[in-house]
Amino acid sequence: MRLLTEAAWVAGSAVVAGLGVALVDVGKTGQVTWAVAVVFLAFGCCLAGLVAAVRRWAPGASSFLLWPTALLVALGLVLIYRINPMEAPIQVWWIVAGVVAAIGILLTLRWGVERLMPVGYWLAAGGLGLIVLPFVPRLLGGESESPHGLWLTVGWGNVNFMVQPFGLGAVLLAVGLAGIHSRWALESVSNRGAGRLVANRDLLVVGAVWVTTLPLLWATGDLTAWAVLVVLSATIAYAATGDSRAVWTGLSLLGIGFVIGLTSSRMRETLQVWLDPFSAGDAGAGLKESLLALGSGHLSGSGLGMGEPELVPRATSDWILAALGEELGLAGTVAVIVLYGLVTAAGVGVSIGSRDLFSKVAAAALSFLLCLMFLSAAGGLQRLLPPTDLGLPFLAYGGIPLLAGWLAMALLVRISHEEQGPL
Amino acid sequence: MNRPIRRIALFLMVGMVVLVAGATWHQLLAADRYRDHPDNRRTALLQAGKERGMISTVGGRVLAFSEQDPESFRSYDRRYPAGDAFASVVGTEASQGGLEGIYADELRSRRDLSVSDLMAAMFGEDLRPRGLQITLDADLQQRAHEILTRRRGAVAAIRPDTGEVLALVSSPGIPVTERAANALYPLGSAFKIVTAAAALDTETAGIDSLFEDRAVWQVPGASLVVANPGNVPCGDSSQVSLLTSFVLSCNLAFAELALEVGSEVMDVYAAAFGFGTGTGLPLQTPAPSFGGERSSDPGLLASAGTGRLALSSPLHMATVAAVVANGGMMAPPYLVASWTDADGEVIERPGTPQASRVITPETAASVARMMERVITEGTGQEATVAGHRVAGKTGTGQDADGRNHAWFVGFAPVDSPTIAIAVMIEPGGEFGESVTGGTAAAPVASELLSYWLQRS
Repeated sequence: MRLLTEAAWVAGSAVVAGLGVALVDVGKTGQVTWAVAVVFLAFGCCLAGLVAAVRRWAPGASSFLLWPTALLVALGLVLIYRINPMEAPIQVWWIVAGVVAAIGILLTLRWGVERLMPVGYWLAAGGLGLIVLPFVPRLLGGESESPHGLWLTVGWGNVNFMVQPFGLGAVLLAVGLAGIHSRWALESVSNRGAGRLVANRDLLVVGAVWVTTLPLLWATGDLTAWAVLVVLSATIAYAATGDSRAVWTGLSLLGIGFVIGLTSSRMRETLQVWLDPFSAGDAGAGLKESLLALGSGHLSGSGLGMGEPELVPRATSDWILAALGEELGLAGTVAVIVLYGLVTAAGVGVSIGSRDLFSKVAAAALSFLLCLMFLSAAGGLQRLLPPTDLGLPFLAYGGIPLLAGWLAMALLVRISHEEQGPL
Repeated sequence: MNRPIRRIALFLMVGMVVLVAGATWHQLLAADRYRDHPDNRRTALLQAGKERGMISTVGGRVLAFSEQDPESFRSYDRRYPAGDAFASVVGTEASQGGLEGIYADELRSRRDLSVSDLMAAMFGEDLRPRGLQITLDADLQQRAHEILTRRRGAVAAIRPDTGEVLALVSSPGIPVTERAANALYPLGSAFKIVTAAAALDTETAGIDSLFEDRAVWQVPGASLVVANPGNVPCGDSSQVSLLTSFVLSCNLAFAELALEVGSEVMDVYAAAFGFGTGTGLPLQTPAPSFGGERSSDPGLLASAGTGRLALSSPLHMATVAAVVANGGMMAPPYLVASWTDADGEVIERPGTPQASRVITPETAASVARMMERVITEGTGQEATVAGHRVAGKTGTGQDADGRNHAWFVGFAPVDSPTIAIAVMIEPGGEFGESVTGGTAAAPVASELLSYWLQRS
């Protein structure tokens, strides 16, 4: 029975990927190319490998975590193939790499996910370092090669490519913060009497994340992405301690950070684009073209391969939801919102069912992070939030967002398995 | 310990719901605002490269077709193999007017994979673009275009018994504007066909009725004076017949007739001939007028009776001639013969418009007799076609600047008409500034009719 379910969603996702690529082919060239078979097989094999690994090392895991993820990755690959066929093979390799990394995590953590708790400091520090350090040169005015937002240009010799370390850093930060707060919470249970002072440490962590990430806000002007980090740290502290002061602290720090950020010309530019994308010139082109694409998609979309998503700059990464909205319409947009909702709900379900505090907080932190990143990217696109170029895990082109997403998934799968109790 | 997690999750889910609402706003409620935004380049991209159906004549001449761009799939180039002679009727891909503009939706390919189109495909509908067949006679159109090349003006020709439009030519063709159906010009004496028909049909007068022959006439109860061309009497004696007045295009008889027929009845006849409503052809927008509509001013009505105030298009005047040619029945002109599928099979005939009686057969015969005399001994002698009986009426209308517009309205052959035409020549071109119906329009009609009559 279980085999049947697994086979069904593995095959289903592979069919979605293959069929999507076929539709793009037909829409663009009128005939189906060999890419359909390659994508179908690559996708099917990847997922089959992942399912085998889950069977071996996390057999108790909920399948609600994996199948919506697989569908999102399939959809993302189809959209990337549609917008820029050159990037699709690279994305396939990144999917393979992501799945291998996920299997690696399952393998490493087969002795128990709680092993990550003691290294929480290191994970959090490493995560923050990944997020902030690359932008320090830009902050000092030394580097002008990375023109926009969260992207960095990395190069050896004359080979340059763009990376966005934010997502991976955020996953490490989430797990690390979960480790720090749950460890303190467990300690405070054993040393009764430390009381309020103990909880203040948690608030200090929120403050520490805030202070360390302010340079990111300053250097990139990406208010929304920065807010994800502050909200994430506050919600983890709140989830671990149940102390609502964590929430208020987070909100106050957001406000203060916003005021401080106003002195950054990059953030002012972001706000200008947000308030009036249609007269913000080149800086607002991404948001402007994305809105035009959304509206042109209407209810049912132009059909895969039949729209003009190439008009949107960086359509495979920053604005992939615009291409989705144009070619698959409101229907496609709502489907993706539902899929992310399912992933979040499944993750929160794992958290609520966990008995171990660290597992509980870590699962909650990872689910919140995935959901917050999606809310930021989609909210930025819809002008509910200032625009951001935060890479959407699973959907967007780029190795690191994809890797980050798969890492988070592997952790959730492992925690989900342990929630069943020792086998 | 789960309560904070549940709370946060609840907030996040509220966020997701807000996203659904936002997406609905952007992609449904406010979608048109973005889709039609001037910065949205999709509109132009979609119009440009799309496949469209073929436009051809019933006789098989291809006027427009789409050719797949060898460079890029899904992108088509529109070709107009028939050349300039058809440009003003067919229009271009980008034009609002012309058949391309008017039937842009009907000609489009429906292979867009939009949901409604996919549904239609599932029910077996053919999504390939439809072809449009029009009634134009390709050779006549080509010939008329050549004849008009060095002139400024427009020509319309229709088949009197059916209303099929045979030719619609505008010159100069650059910039491409359709003027044979889609513009109004001062008509002058060609309107006398209508005044005469109204008088004969109501038995106010016969063709031999006599009128006092004067050079000028002070209209009773009005300050206006109606004069004959050149301010001379029509003939040598003291009285002149309606026939002679018609043949020589004298004004006074028609001014008197309009008053005798009366404003209301003149309105009825003018409207029956299409003044005030037009021809109903999709190419045509403005409605012709004769200038005396609902007028209680006798001066105005008398003047309108001579055609001095009338405005019309060549296509409309061709239908006026066709009424006379067709025994008093008006067959409204039509251009769209049929819609075909992509294989050229006819799938829809819009159906010919209902013919209606305008004047009695007897009246039509009398007017036709007068019109034939215009060619044999009157102002239209230059429209003669050797070996064929032609009927017609000339006109010279003046615009507000006093510039002449020369008209010839007629049909042939008289005993069983196969064509009704109207020629309008503007000042400029080969004839210079001073054009008249008899000297500028009639020769063009003669060339065109002789081509038509010799061919058939």
